[in-house]
Amino acid sequence: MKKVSSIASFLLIIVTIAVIARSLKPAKYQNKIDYSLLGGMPVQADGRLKPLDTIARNNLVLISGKSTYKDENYPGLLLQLYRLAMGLENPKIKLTAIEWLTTLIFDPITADKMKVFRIDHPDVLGLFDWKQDRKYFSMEELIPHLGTLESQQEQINSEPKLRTSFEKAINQLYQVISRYRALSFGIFDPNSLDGIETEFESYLSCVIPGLKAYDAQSQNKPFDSDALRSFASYAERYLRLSRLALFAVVPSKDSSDWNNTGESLLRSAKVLQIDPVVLAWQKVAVSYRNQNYATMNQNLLALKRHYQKNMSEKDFSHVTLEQRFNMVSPFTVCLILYLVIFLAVLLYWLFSKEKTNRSFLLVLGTVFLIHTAGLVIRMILSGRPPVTNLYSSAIFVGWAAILLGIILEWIFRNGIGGATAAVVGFLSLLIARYLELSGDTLEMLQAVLDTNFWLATHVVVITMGYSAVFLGGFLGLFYVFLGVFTRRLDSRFRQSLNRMVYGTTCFGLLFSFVGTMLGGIWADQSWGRFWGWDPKENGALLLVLWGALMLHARWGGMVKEKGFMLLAIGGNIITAWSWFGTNMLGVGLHAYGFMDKAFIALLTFVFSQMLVIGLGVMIPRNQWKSSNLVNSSK
Amino acid sequence: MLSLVYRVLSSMHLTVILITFSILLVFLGTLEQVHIGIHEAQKKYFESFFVIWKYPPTWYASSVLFWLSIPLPGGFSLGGTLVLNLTISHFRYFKSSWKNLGISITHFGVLLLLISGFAVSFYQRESIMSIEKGKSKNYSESFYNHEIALIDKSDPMKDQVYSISSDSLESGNAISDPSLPLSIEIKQYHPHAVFGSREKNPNATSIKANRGLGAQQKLVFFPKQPSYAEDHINWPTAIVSLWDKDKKLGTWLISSFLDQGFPPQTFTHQGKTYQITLRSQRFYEPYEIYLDDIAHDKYPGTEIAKNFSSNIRIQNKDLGVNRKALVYMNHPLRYEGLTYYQHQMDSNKGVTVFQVVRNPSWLLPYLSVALVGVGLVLQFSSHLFRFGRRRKVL
Repeated sequence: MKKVSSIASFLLIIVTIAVIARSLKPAKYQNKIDYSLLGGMPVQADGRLKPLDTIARNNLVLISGKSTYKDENYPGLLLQLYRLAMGLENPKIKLTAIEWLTTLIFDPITADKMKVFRIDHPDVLGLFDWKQDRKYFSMEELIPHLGTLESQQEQINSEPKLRTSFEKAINQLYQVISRYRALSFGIFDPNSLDGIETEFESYLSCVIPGLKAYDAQSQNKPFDSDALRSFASYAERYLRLSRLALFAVVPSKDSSDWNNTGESLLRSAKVLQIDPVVLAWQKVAVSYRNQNYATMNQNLLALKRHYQKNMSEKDFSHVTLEQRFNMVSPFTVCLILYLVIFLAVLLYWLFSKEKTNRSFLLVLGTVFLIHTAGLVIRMILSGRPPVTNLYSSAIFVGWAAILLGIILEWIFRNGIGGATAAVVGFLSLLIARYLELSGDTLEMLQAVLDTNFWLATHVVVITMGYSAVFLGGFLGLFYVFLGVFTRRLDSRFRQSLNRMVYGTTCFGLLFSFVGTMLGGIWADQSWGRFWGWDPKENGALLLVLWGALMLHARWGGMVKEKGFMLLAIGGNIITAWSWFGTNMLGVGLHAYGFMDKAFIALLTFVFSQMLVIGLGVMIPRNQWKSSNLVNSSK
Repeated sequence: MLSLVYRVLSSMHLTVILITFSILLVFLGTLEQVHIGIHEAQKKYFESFFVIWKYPPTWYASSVLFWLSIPLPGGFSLGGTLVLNLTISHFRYFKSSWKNLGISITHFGVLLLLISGFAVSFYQRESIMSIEKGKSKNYSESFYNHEIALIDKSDPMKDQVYSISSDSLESGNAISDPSLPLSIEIKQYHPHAVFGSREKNPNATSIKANRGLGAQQKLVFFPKQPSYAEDHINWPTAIVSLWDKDKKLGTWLISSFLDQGFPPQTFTHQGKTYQITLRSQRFYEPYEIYLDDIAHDKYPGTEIAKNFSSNIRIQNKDLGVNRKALVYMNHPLRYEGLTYYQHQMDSNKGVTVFQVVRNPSWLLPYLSVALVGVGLVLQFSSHLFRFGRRRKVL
C-alpha cells in the first residue's frame, strides 16, 4: 500500500509540474495572433500598471461571471473527447479573455454577436420579453432594449442598501453594459475603425486649417467653415474617446499618469505629431482587420519594444510577471490539488490502516510551495504584505491553514492534519474564486489602509488566527463524521484529534488575541481610540472570547472530549461571522463591501455547522458507529 | 454563606458563564448597530448594566417573532463581575509556580485591559475640529453633544462664552447660576427637528417665540425622532426664555440647524451685546491651531485617495510655543494631552477636519496587550514543550 501511495504521489507531482510548465511555454504562432504578446502589453487602470490580459480577465469575469468565453454551441467534455477520438476538429468557439477583448476592441461588430452578458434575474429577463431558458445574451440582442433598461435604471432607489433584488439586478446590468462600452472604447473609437488606416493622417492635416479657422471665427473674421467643421468633428470624437476609455495605453514622459489614446490624440493637435505608441497600436489594428497575422505579430513585437524603452525596468518586469501569473493561475492549480489530496487521503483510509508516509507530506509540501509562490508574486506585484482585501485574506487563510496542517501532519503522520488542511485550503480558495468576481484583486488601498507596517502585523496575525480556528473546527467536523458514520474513530485517532484541536485552539486564541490587539494599537495610532466597538473589531473580539470559553470550559472540566470538539465546530461559525458576516452589516470603518449572495452562503454555512453540532449532541455516543471503540479506549 | 459567595465568585463555571454572556452581548450589540448606529449601541450594550435585546422589526418574519427579546447583563456588569472573578479566583487557585506563570501574567493583562476599558468609557472624549486653510481655531466640537451658548460680545477682542451642556437640555429645565449673567428657562427641547418655510407649510403650529428668528414666523419646525444612523445629522432645537432676575427678556427659538448658515441671533441688554445659540458642544484649548496648507494625493489616473495631509502650526502664547507640524493618515499629532488625527478633508473648499481625542489612559492597553501576549506565549509553549517530551517518552 505504501508503494502504491508513493507512486501515486510522485505521479501527481510530475503531472502538476508538467501542467505549469505547459501553461508557461510560448505557443507557436505562424499564421495566428500571438495573444501572449498582446496580453502582455502594459496599460494603466485603477491607479496601477497591469497587463492587458488582466484587464481582459477581470472585465470578462465582471460581465459574464467566467474568465473564458464559450459559445452556446460549445460541445461538452464528452462530445469533445468523442470528436478528438474520431479525428474531428472541435469548432473553435471558445475564446480566452484576451481573445475576446481583442475582438471587442478591433472588431466590435463580431464581438457584439457574442453572448457574454449573464442575466439571471427572471424579472429582468421578463422586462425584455425573454424566457428563462438561457443565461447569456449578446450586445446585439440587448441593443433594442437599452431604452427600457435606462428608464428602469432611472427609477431605482438611490440608496444602495434599500434596493430590491430587481433594482440591484437592473443596476448591475446597467453598470456592466457601460463597462462593456467603455472597454470597446479602450484604444480606438469603435465607430472609426473602418477608416483607421488613414485616420490620423487626415486628422493632422486638418489641425492647422482648423485652428486657423477657429482663430478667425473667434476674432469675427471670415473663416473656412469646412475646415473648422472637420477639425471639430475629430476633436469631439477624441474628447469622447478620452472620457470613455477604461484604461490608458500611452506612457507619459513627465508624469506617472499615463494618457489614454483620446487624451494623447488631443495633445497631438499641439505638437502636430501622433504619439509613436498610438501609431504602433494603429498598425496592430490595421493588420488585425486585414487578417494579416504575421505582420500583426511583428507590429506587436515593435510595440512591446517601445513600451520596454519607455518604462522603468521594474514596472515592465512587474507587468510581465503579472501576465505569467495569470497564465499559470497558481491558485486554480492549488484549488484542484487540494481537492485531489483530500480525496486521496479518504481513499487511503479506506484501504489502509497504516500511518501515512513521507510521500503524502511531499505532495502537500509541493502544493504549498505553489500556493506560497502565488502569494509571494502577488506581494511583489502590489508591493504590499499578503493581506490587503477580502480576496487576499481568503488566499492567505488557505495558505496558513495548509502551513499549520503540514506541521500537524509532521507530528502525527496520520493524514488527518493534512486532509483537514486540504479541505480548508480548498474551501478558502473556492471563496477567493467567488470574490474574484468583483473585479481587480490587486486594487489600490484606501488612504486609511495605506500602511504596510500594520497590514503586515495586525492583518496577517488576525488572519492566521482565522486559519487556526477553522482548522480546529474542521478537525471537529472530522471527529463527528468519523465517529457517527464510520468505525474509524479509534482511540489513536481520537487522541490525536483531541490534541490537534487543543493545539489549534491555543494557537488560534494566541493569534486572534494578539492580532485583535495589534488592530487596537493601529486604531489608537490612526483614529485615536484603541477600541471603537466597530463590527469587525467586535467580530475579532468574539473569536478571542470563543477561544477563552473553549479553554476555560476544558480546564474547568465542563466539557469532555466530545464537547470540546463540538465547541471547536462552533468556532467555524464565529470565524465565518467575524470574517464575512461583519462586512455585510455595512456599518463602521471596516465595512468595505456589502455582499448579498454571500449572505445566503454564510447562513447556509452557519446552519450546516449547527446541524453537525446538533448531530453530535443529539446522538448519544453509544450509538455512534465508532461507539465500541470510543468506550473501550476510555 | 460567605464561603458560598467566595466559591461562586472564584469559580471557573462563573468565568465560562460570563464569557458566554459576553459573546451574546457583543454579537447582539453588533447587530443592533445596524439600527441605532455604533455610538448608541455602545452606550446601550457595552457601557450599561442591563440591556434587553428585541427582535428587530425589519427582520424576516418579525410579525411572528416580534415578542422575542433577550435580557442580558450589560458591559459594565459583565466587566465588573469578570474583574471580581479574575481577582478572587487568583487568590483561591493559583499558587506561585513556574507552571502557572503564563496564566498569571495573562490574567493580570486581561485585568488591566478590563480596567482600561472602564477608564476609556469614563475619561475618553472625542471631538472634531475643522479648520479652513489660512485660518485658525482654538476649540473642537463634540460629535454628539450640544450646548446652549450665551455669548457676551461686548469686548471686541474676546468673546465671553457661557455654555449649558447637553445633560441639562430638557424641556422644563430652568438654569440659573451665579456664574451666568442671565438665567435660562428651557420651554421646549427637541433632540431633533426639521425645518421648513411658513409659506410652504401654512398649517404648521406657530413658533412660540417673540424675539430673534423665531419671532419673524417665517420658519416652521417639526420635531422628529433622533436617529444615530451613519450620515444622519440630528438638529436639536429648543425654545428658551431668558430672565434677568425676575424680568423676562423674551423667548427665542434656537437650533443647531439655525446655528449653521443663519445670521447670529443677537440682542442687547443693559448695554451689553449678547448672542444666543444652540450648537455642537465646544471644547476650548489655550492655544490656536493654524492650517497653512492641505494636500489630497490620489493614485495615478484615478480618484482613489492615497493620502490626506495637513500642514499646521501650533501657537501657544502662554507657553511661548510656535511650531509647525504635519498631520497625515496614520500619523497624528499628540499635543498637550490631546491627539489630532486626520479625519476628513474637503480639498475644494480648503477645509481639513481633525478628530481630536483626549484619552489619558491610552498607554494602559499597550501594557496589558504586551502582558497577555507574553503570558499566552509562555503558557502555550510550556504545553508544547511538555507534549514534545511526552511524545519522546512514548
